Amino acid sequence: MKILVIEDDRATADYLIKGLKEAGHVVDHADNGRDGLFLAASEPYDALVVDRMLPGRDGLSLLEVLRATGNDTPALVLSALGSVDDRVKGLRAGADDYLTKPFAFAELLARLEVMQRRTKGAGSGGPVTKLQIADLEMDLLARTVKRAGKPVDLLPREFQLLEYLLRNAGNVVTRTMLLENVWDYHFDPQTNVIDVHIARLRQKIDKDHAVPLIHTVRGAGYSLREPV
Amino acid sequence: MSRFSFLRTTTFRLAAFHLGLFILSVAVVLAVVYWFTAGFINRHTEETVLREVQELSNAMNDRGRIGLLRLISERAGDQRSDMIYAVASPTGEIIAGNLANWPLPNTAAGWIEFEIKNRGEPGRKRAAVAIILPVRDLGWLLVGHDMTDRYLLRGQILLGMIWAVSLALVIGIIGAVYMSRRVAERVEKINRTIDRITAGAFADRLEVTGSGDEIDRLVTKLNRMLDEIGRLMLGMRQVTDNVAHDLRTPLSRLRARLELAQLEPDLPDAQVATLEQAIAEIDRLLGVFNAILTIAAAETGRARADFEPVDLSALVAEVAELYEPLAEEKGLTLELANADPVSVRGSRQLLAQLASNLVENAVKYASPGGHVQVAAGHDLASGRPLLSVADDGPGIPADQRDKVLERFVRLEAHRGTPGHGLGLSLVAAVARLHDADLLLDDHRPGMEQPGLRVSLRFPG
Repeated sequence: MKILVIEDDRATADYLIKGLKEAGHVVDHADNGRDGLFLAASEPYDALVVDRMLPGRDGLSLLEVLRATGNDTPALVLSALGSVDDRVKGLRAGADDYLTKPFAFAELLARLEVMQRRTKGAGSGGPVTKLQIADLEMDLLARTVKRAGKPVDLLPREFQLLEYLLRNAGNVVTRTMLLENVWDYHFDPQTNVIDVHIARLRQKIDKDHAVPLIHTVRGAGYSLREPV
Repeated sequence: MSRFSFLRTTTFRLAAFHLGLFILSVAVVLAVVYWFTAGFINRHTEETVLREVQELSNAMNDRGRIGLLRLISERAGDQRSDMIYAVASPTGEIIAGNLANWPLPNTAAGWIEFEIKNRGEPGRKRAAVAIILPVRDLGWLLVGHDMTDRYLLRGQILLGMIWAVSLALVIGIIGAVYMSRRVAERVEKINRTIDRITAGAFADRLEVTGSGDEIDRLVTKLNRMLDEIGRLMLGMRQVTDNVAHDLRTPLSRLRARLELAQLEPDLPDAQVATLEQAIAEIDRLLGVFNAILTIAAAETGRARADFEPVDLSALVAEVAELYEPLAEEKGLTLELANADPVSVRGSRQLLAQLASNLVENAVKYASPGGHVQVAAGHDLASGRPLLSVADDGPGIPADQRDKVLERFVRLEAHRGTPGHGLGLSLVAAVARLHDADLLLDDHRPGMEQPGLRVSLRFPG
């Protein structure tokens, strides 16, 4: 991916650039809103990482201008302001995702990749009715799941959880992403309730099968992927 | 405002009181005027009669009985005069004058009031006032005055006064109602604006009419107070935003450095573990920090502007479902009681966080193999929307319940368990934001493990 990082804090920018490069992406950097807007408008990028508080032009107005000119490059806003209404303002300004500082790099990476996949997949034909990976099949219309041809009985929430994992198969999804997208909760419970839900899902999907599909990614979250 | 509730307002009571005083003073003034007028009419009549008596007595002295009788018949013949004359024999027979009958059966000297029959139009009675005097060698002399016109005037004056008082009363009542309504409406408008402001529309101000009256002055002062509150809230918001920014940025750098350090190849295991612990510490710090910011945000009341109807039953069911696997893993039974559907106005995110904090605590403190009860419904006693979470753990002694709602307070008994002591303060702040009453009590009073029940009663 070709990613533009617009971040004025030197240390955070260095860390983002280093981390993203290490993950195999091409990174450009602007340290103020004006230059950032110029670069974002003049070059094609796969994703933007925009700090909310920037010198020159703040991140949200930068996005508003960009969206007003018809540029819809997926953008993730980074901010030290984390309350629910700050988040809502960010999404209204045209951000595709919103991440509160400080964040784990794995979280940022996972979100960028999911965001990228979502915008790419958006244009391809009609609505998806079936999701599949290896021998795991999900029928979105009949609301049924089969593993190796055998039906798997899932509770509604487990179904949603598996659907999110399937839609982002091959990518890492973090616990926060699951809480936000499956439960629509924008706060972090003190205990890791998500792990228990995943453990239950694993029981139903991977137990009795030689090849596991749900993988734990250390320090990041979970990934549903095909056996290599 | 209901249609007639202005009758209970202070303004209406004051206006009614003043109206009462005003009507009373008008009545007194008119009564005095009437009293003087009536007195004047009577005195004037008496003077006229006495002057006439004086003239008659002069005629008697000068010209004797004949002179008197001649003068009387002369005067009595004058049709335009209202005077009444009569001379009667000692036995009461009329000798001269314009009276057909002697008015009294028993004649005595002095003032009398009587009615004349058949004078002018027959059949109509006319009132008169007269004086009766004894006349030497003749009998009795009566000199009087026909009072009909004067009494008519007196009656007209009285009627006029009654009309005046009634009109004053009607105008006064209309004025009092109008005035108190106007004032009550202004006060009601102020009340409505204040309700809107406390509900989250902090930019609203009370309307100043520009009349410069005492309500305007009060409103101006209230507005100034609102500005001050707004300034303080903005200040508080700026402080929390700045703290958020100034603490989060270095924390970001610190976390970033540690994460980058983790990426170094060939690190000894001990260092990897240390780095992981350091990152975990930062994340814990961040958890505390986020809780403080959420509490601060809830306490400014700003979130009220975004309140929406929240299905409390569904919310509680969702949170219970989120924690159910965790409870099961700990060997606990999580019971959900929300058969009675209920919704409130509020912030879904904050209420979910509140419920999740409560369930998390309950799961943490419930006795091994015990129960956690999560309920949403209507309070039996008050009918208000109710949310409650109860466990069968050690509970909280009654004298320490207020303390646990304060920030960073953790009871000595719980020092060993993980947590930052902000969970219940967050619950308290969110409850206050929603105007909900928060109550902590024993779930199973009298038992060795009384358990804790936390209940929120929302405004009805």
